[in-house]
Amino acid sequence: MVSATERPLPAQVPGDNRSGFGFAAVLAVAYGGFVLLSAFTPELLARPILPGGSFNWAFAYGFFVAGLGIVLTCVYVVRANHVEDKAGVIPLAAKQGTAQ
Amino acid sequence: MTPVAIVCFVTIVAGTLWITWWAARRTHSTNDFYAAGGRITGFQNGLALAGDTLSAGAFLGLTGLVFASGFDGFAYAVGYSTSLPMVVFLLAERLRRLGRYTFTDVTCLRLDERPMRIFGAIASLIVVSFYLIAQMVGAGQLIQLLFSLNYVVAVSLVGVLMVCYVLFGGMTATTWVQIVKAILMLSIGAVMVALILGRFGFSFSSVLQEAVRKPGRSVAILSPRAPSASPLSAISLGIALMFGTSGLPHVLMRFFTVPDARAARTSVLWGTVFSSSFYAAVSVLGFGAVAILSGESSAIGANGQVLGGGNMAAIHLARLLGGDPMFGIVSAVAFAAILAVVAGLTLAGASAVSHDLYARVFCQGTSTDAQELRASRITTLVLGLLAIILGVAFRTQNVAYMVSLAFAIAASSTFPVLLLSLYWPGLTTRGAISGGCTGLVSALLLTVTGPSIWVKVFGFPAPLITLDPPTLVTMPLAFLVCWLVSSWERSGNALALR
Repeated sequence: MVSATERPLPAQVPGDNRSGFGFAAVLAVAYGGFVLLSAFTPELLARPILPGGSFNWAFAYGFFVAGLGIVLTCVYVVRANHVEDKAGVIPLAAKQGTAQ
Repeated sequence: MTPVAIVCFVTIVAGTLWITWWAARRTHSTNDFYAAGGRITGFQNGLALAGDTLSAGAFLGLTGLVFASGFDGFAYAVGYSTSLPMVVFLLAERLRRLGRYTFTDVTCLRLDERPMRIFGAIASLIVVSFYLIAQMVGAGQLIQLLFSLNYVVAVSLVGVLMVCYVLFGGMTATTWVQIVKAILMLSIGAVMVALILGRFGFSFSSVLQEAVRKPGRSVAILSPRAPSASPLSAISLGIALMFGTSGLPHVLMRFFTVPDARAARTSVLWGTVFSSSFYAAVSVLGFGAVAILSGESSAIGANGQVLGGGNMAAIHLARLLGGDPMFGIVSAVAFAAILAVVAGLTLAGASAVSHDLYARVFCQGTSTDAQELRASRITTLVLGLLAIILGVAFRTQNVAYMVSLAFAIAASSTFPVLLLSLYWPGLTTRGAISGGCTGLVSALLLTVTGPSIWVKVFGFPAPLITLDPPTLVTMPLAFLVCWLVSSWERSGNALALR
């Protein structure tokens, strides 16, 4: 069983990056804030944005989280494509070689 | 059912069967069967991904949930909207770069193949089964209500159709059925949102105002209520919703249908755009249902409940908005939605057995393509039969808890093992297996002893564990055990070497 662990992490290929963790953290913090505010200070979220209106901060925050997910994904994909272009695209055959 | 509704329904089901026939002529190799020959483009795969996440549960279930519990239902949708971005940030790219047909392929690159294959297949099958039961029960109830069919007949019909898609069309048919369904679902969602907003001068605030004014409703439905009653469960649910999708085998499998990592990225981008927009639209659909259905005798019974069960709020809403044609189309799309998701789940289960267990463990890689294909077709038949039996056996069970259980198990077993094997060079085989099994078993145990099963199913007065779902404990536990066992094994070996 030990020998298997000696194998290196195969993911170290050009264009690979760990920036995904940063993006995941930003989204987790934003959504975590939504959950924590809902759990501990729901009265804060219940306040209407415009006095007398029905649209409150709870909806605004909810839509913000969904929108943030889309925006972050766009930025991540554009960025990762750019990094990959710079590093040079690995030929498909080579990749399939790794996969087997 | 009116003639118009029946015509819409038959057209859509016939359309999906035509897709299967077309795909069957193109399915020859294992690569065609498991991964649609890697020929699906990023945009198409994005639609299919959106289709996977927008199950009938999302459309019917979430609309019903908002109708019943107001903002708390919408909070579910917000949680779901974070799940696909998490898949793209953490997994999609490396998964596509390293895997072939199943996510277990990836964990086997560094760790010992046999134990990892067996663990991956068992975890996949457990997650898939719980998800499958939930969809089958939901499908049976929906068809029973829509067409007044007998429940057993309804479940068998779903089982037979889904086996046809997978057996003959493989991943190509499953993907295209999913794409067609996603387009229909998104269009219908958009039309319904436009019709609802049109009734209220295109102001969401007016929809909310009208909803609050209905009898039995108050301004309390516009803000979160459940989380403050049990904060720990709310946090736990948040974690399950955020990371559950990252461990679902049928979603992860989608990344092998595209040609490369770039297409994998593009596909999650489109998947996120479509599904998150739909989740945001759930707020309009749900509160629109409150504002429009309340007081309609054709939709709400004398006891104040939705006719045909809480999940039918969206169907009644469609009928009140667009008459019989809209009713027929929405019912048919909901049915197609269930079929497509069930087919994807069956295929994921079949590949776990035929690719991971049969081809790699049992035959140790010596089987031919044809043998592997035959194994997976036999598995598909068995799974279809099993799904029908389980769907009948669990017909009285609550559908929502089965889904949350599947999410909790996926987030505590497959997700930690996959993430660590992609990023942590220190992970050992023993560490991965013990961590994954600990997460799997603890998630199962804590759910059984929690309020959803211990009280609601077994009828005990109080749950042993109040945390529901258990992800807050079980996911960190899985990571911790992976780390502890790996570190211990490595230090032990280091000593032995000296």
